[in-house]
Amino acid sequence: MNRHAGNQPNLMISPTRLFVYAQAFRFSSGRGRCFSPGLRTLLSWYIAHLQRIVIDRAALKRLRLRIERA
Amino acid sequence: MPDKLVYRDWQSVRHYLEQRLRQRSLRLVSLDLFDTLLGRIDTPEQVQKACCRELARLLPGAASDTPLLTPDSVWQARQQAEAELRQQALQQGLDPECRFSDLVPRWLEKLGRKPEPAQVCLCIDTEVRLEKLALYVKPGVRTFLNWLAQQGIGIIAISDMYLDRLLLESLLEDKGLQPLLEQVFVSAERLKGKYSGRLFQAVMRQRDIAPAHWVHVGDNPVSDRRIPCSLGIQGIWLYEKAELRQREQQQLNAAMAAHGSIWRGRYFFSLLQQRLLHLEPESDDFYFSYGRDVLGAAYSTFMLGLQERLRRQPVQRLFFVARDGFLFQQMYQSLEGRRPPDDYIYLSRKVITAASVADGLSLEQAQVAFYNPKQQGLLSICKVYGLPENRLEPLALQHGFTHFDEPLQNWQDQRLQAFLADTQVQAIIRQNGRTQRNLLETYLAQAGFLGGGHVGLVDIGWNGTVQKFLKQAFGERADYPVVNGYYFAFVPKMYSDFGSNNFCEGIIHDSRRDNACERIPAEFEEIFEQGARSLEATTVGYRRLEGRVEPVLKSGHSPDRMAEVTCNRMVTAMHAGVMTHWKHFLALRQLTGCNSSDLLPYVYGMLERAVVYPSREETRMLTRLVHTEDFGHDHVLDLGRHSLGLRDLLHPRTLLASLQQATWRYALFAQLPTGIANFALRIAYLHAVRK
Repeated sequence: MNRHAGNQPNLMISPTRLFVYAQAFRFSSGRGRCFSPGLRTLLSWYIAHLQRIVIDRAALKRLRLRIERA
Repeated sequence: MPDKLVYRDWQSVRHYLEQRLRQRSLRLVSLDLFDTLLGRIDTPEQVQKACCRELARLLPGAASDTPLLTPDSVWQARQQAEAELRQQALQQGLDPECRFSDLVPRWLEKLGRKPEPAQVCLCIDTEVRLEKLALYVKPGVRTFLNWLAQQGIGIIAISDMYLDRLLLESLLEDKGLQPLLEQVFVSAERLKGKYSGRLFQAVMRQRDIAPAHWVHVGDNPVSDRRIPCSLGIQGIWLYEKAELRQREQQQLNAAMAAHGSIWRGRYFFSLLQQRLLHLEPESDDFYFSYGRDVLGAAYSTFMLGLQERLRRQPVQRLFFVARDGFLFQQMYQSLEGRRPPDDYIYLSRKVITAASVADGLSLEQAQVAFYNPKQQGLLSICKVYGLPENRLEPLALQHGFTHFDEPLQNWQDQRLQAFLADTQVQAIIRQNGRTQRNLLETYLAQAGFLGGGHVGLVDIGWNGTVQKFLKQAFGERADYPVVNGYYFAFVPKMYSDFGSNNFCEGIIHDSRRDNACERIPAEFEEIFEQGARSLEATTVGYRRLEGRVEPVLKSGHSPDRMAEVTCNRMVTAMHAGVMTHWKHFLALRQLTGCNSSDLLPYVYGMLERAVVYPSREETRMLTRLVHTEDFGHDHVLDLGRHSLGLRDLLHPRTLLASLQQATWRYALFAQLPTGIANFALRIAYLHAVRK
């Protein structure tokens, strides 16, 4: 996903990947971890992301459709 | 009541309509507009907030007792005005709708402004302009509408929207959909919405159509399917899962942007990706894609930073330095609005060094030529300083040199010291240096640099050699300008004092800021130079031609230039990619109001990924580029085609030597699985740099 696809635009880098990259700075100079997303924010992003996956809106809409038909 | 139909794409809708057409039971198709025909790269709320931000900046000041406008105050006033109008419509027995042309005067009043026609126009134009930037025609829509237009039935659009019909029509015109639609009905016109069924009833009366002959398609299961079905109209719910996911992702990205750090930049570039996906054709060219996705982000952020600095500290004229300033000038020239005039100035380290020996050549200066691993002793000195080899070679023989191109490993070589101490040698050098210096001075005056008052100098980087030398050589002149040097990356390793009124700043990277994470462009300078360079050869000198001084470019027959020309196609593709990125970057700048500091953390992350953790394809393709230097040699630089394997890890000394000599050290591990080796090297390198 983060690697260059070569045709479709690909400007997105996963925050987790950036977090890992930033650890190289933490393990060495300790300065300039400016592209780290921050652990707490990363976790809140994960939670929001998981909610999107777990709460299957499509299934909810199908359920709604059935109720409407009933 | 008609069946409640749900279809997942336009192809399925078309199949259904074909059946109805065969049954001759279809006379009218109505289509919802937003999220059905038109997609959004950003949520409506974000677009409205962008409008408020723009208006806070653009609306002229009112009386002195009126509070200063902020984006938030403009947003609050809009919310209040809108709520009042919707309430008013409800009290009149209509649907809680509002019309933008009614909203704007009330909005202005709440801001303490008189709703004068010019201000009303400004608000409307700003909103419509930003809406146009945020909207795109969804995939498959044009094909579907073109097919529908050939079926001889009515096609109309029905939308629940606060924009007036005429404004909506102008949006559709901009997207090229207006000619395909007979009529547009909008809730704002009659203050009746689809969700109450009143808008459908009004259309039914106006078009005099029986519900049984009418099909409506839209993305909302209630207002586009249940309500029309309850009126006897066949409603179809267009349920596109990918679109829905995308909208959810947009909302998440917008919410995360509030956390700052990389999140704001990530949100910005996610919007940019949407625009590129929907508004630009796909490209199979690797170099175009690399320019668009990697270099485009870095260069565009640099140009945004440059604009911000020019606003803070205006200059009278901006000079883009050959050759790496070329692309920046193209980007600058595509900016709209008032900006300082610009020029392309032919300078190189070669012409600078040639002029710098006007007072003779010292041993320290001569040693500069030996920094090149492929140095050829005195020949290299002649090449770097543009000295006449044929006149100096006989004199070198007198001082014990047998071969003029013999590499000099001992930089304190006695023969070299004797050669430089020779008055005849120095006389030739001085004579040549003075000629070059006079030509350069005339060229600078002719280009408007000398006498320019306060000028900006834009270049890729790195040491600021050109700027330093110009000040040193001509700084005593009364008409020498105040110079602001803006560099993509500024790493003043060689000099620290640039003299008075001679300012330098690295916008993406400035080593004086001591931020390890922004140093990334300096880890692979060559790719940033290649991506920005012009196609012409480097400047090797100047000559007088018809009363003017013209630059002399390197001969097309020199081996490095010939190699370079073979790469021009790749460089052109990268330029095209960068310019595509820049076009959408500018559009989104208006929509998001982001500044360079908002974007930089994410851009550093993008560059870290591209330079330290390149993919195999990136390594393979980028190392095909030929890199030359403008220091007078004819060599080309190997960008690291030979990657290391697991066996090399068993030979630490060879490994270390390879890493030390590599131009792009992280590319050496391209063949190793996972990025662990690159990660370990990164840690080791950052440790070494610190020490």
